[in-house]
Amino acid sequence: MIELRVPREDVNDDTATVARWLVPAGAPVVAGQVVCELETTKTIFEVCAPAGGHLHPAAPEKAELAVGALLARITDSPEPPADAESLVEAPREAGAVRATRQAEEFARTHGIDLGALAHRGILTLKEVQAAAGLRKPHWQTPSGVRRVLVLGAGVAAMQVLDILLHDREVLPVGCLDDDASLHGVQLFGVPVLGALDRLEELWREGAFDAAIVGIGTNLPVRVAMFRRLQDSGIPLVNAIDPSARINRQAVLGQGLVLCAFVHVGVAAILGDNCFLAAHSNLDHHCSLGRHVVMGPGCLLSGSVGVGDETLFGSGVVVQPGLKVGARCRVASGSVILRDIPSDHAVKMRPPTEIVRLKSGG
Amino acid sequence: MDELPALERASGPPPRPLLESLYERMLLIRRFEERVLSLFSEGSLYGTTHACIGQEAVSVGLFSHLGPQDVVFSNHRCHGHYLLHQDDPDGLLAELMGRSTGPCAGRGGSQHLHRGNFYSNGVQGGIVPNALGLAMAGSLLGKPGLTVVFLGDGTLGEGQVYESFNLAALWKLPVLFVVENNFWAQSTHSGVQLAGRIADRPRAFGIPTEEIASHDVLLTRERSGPVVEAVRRGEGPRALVFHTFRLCPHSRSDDARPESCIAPWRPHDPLLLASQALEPAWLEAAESRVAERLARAEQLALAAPFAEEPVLPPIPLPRPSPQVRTGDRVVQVLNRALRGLLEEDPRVLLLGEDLVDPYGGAFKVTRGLSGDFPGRVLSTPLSEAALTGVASGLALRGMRPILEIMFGDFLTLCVDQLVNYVSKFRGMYDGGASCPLVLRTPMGGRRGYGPTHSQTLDRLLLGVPDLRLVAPGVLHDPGALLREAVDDEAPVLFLENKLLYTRPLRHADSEGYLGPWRVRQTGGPYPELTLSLVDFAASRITLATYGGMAEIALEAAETLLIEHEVPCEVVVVSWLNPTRFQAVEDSLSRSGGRLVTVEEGIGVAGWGAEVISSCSERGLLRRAAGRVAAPCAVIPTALPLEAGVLPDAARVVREVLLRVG
Repeated sequence: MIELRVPREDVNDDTATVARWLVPAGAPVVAGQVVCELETTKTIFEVCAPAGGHLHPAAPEKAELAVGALLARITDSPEPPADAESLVEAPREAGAVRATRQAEEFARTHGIDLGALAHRGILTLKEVQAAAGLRKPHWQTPSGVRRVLVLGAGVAAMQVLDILLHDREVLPVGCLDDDASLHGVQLFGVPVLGALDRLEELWREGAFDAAIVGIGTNLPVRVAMFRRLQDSGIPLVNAIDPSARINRQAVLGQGLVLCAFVHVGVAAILGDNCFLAAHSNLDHHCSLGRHVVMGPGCLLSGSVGVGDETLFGSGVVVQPGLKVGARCRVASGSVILRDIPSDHAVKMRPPTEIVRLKSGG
Repeated sequence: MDELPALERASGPPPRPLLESLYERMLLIRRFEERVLSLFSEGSLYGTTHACIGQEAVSVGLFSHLGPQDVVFSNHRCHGHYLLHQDDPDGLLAELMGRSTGPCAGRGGSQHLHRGNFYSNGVQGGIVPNALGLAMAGSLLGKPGLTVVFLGDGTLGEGQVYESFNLAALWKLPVLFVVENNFWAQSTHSGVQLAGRIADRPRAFGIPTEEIASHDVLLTRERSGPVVEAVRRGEGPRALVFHTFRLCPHSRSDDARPESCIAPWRPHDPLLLASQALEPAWLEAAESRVAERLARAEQLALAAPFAEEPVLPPIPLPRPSPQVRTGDRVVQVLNRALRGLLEEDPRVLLLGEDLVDPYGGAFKVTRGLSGDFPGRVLSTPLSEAALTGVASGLALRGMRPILEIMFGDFLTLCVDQLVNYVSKFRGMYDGGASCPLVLRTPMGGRRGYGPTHSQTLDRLLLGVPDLRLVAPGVLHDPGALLREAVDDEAPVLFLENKLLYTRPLRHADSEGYLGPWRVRQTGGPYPELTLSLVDFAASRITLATYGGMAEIALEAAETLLIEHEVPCEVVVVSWLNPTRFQAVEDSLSRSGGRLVTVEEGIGVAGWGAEVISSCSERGLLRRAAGRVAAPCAVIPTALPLEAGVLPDAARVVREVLLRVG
């Protein structure tokens, strides 16, 4: 059996179209006989049989073939070769579902039928997860978000607004707070729209695209608000001050507030809903759980771990590699020299004494 | 050459009325230029000025055979020619004084004049092919008159002159080449510039050439008449070589010629020669008539305001274009568009190397056209510079020439024309003329054509005022873009990536989808396309690109989404200069101000650099932008080596991942 392949006719054309078969399928041909006309963008040229035999075209007229592709075969028999069928390339299945690699993997491991979700574009992981009723991907801040609602209207919320107003990718559209005296007040031009119970109603109305918790040290409320946002499927944004220095490899959760001059060192990890006041310094490989709140100027040395819902005062110093458990309370000015188990408080004996100056009034 | 040539005088008694009329024209030029030189000293003029004092007999004799229907293309020393052809001292003086009442409202000044059928430009050489184009357009449009182009001895050092001699003789164009040999090119004597004899140059191309050495206006008139008439009768091009002398400096106070050179010519001052046969009383009256006319011109100019910013006409709406189908090859679509243009518009003319069948152009874009449109698809000599000049002259006179330059790399040969002629006319003539030519050329590599046939030189011509750069691709309709370019009053450089010719078009369906891509078209003419694989609001980075790189950007964007879960928006522009940024701006507002530009050419001072700095200036970037482009390297011939130089989809993916991490 002799294979006849599409020759290269010029440097510009990587394909050629079968213009005409001059010999019917299975017909006898002799060496040198013109059997086919191929067309490129430049010219029409003839293809000759390299040897005698029976010609079996492998592509119909008008088919476009790559240079080097099989054009025909010449055999000893007028019968088509046994594998003739397989030569015809199956056209790509119309409506074949296309999804990203991660989306396919997720669908496979979660037993989700991608076919039911298919649309004309490419299915993303986010779409598949959302369609499956699962949470939004944990470490991803939704992109394209613009209008942001802030929960709370107190001093922490003002810090959050100050950051958001610096960020051109978002637009704070309002705050909610249970303190009725604040309703109708504007914070930096952002109105306090009412009590926290309006959250779901505003979301249904499409009044905002995402939200963030603007409550600081009142940890139980901070945690409750965050859970409420998640339960309602409301996307969260991060409020990161432009002066914050965040290492590229650091992993950030969502709903974070990182105030001015926060430093997040190499490969540090921050769980969701943490609030780090100004000058907080997390050195390399530190790891914070969820809902960790720090006062200004805390200094965590390298590889410190902190559990969920732990609250630091201001100026706390933690030595390298130590672990501070979950739900701890660490007093301002503490210097942590050993691991702190969960559910413990670190108290601070006043290291200073205050005396009235003789010259004082 | 310090010796005088043997100067001739007319024989027989001078016919008085004729001599008086010729003398008064010479006098107007002389007194005009003398006044101009003193105004220059007073600081009332803008720019430099080149007087023809001493050479007046040449032009006055010649112009006595020319009328307003004849086209004149002159050079930097053009005041005399302008005054003779347009009889407009008021306008010329206003122009030199920068006033709105000048023919070019002060934008052109002394060297760049246009009014009626008169044109001039201040760069040597390139006006010669321009004149050929004007002459050719005249013949094609059935206009009366011939075209006269003025060269100096210095101009004969320019290559475009010889390309033009060849073309004019080959195509038998009604052109008269006039060489005003005044023996000095600025400060350098022709003896150290020119080998051989001047008259032998046009003769070498079979152009009958006559030499006239005389400052006697009756003789220059008598001898130039039959030459002009021969061209007028359609006997093809002729050349006239006048041996003359300028009695003033090249421009202002830059005369380095020794007095021993000038002195022998003083007794041959053409005004002096003519005045010898005229009455003193008449001469006095002529002086006062001219003085009065010039004083009035000066008063009018001084009273006139300076010009306002000109308003350029908007780009016309595109004419309907035949429907294209996904799968049509770019080469077929371009071919169909050219066919349609030739059918619909008698002003369209195709020029270029090897365009005629059976070859049909190096990339077969013009295949089948020369037979169906005889005389309108021309295979030309290898004279890219002059061809651009010819196309420019055709366009100046109402034709819509489409010039094909076989490889974009050869565009360097056209740059003189593109920068100093084609793109200048509309602006320097204050909108009084436009030069709507389309220059098509293939750019780009990946064909193994090597260092001089694979470049993408688009960036060399970015930022040339009034020169549009348009680049089709498979996502746009190249035929529609070409039609828009032909209708555009501005000159258009139509850059076709050579890989595109055999590629099938990829167009969105009625629902706005191209396969998995959502497609939005904005702007126009020369629209932008924005493509995304996901909802537009979800994109995380913008890829901006054009031409042949569009498909590479799409390939990269698919990989980025499928393998890395990074949704990209791809903005494909078709108009590179001046780039319209709206689509990129809109996209950046969705993608968080992250941008990567993708182009095939060298990145240094390229299109991507321009896009990024413009976006940066507008405060649209929120992250450091990335640029995918070729390094500053010579493109190797061997394909594996070439692949190491030209940017590919993998590089786009890498660049994007750096920006979204």
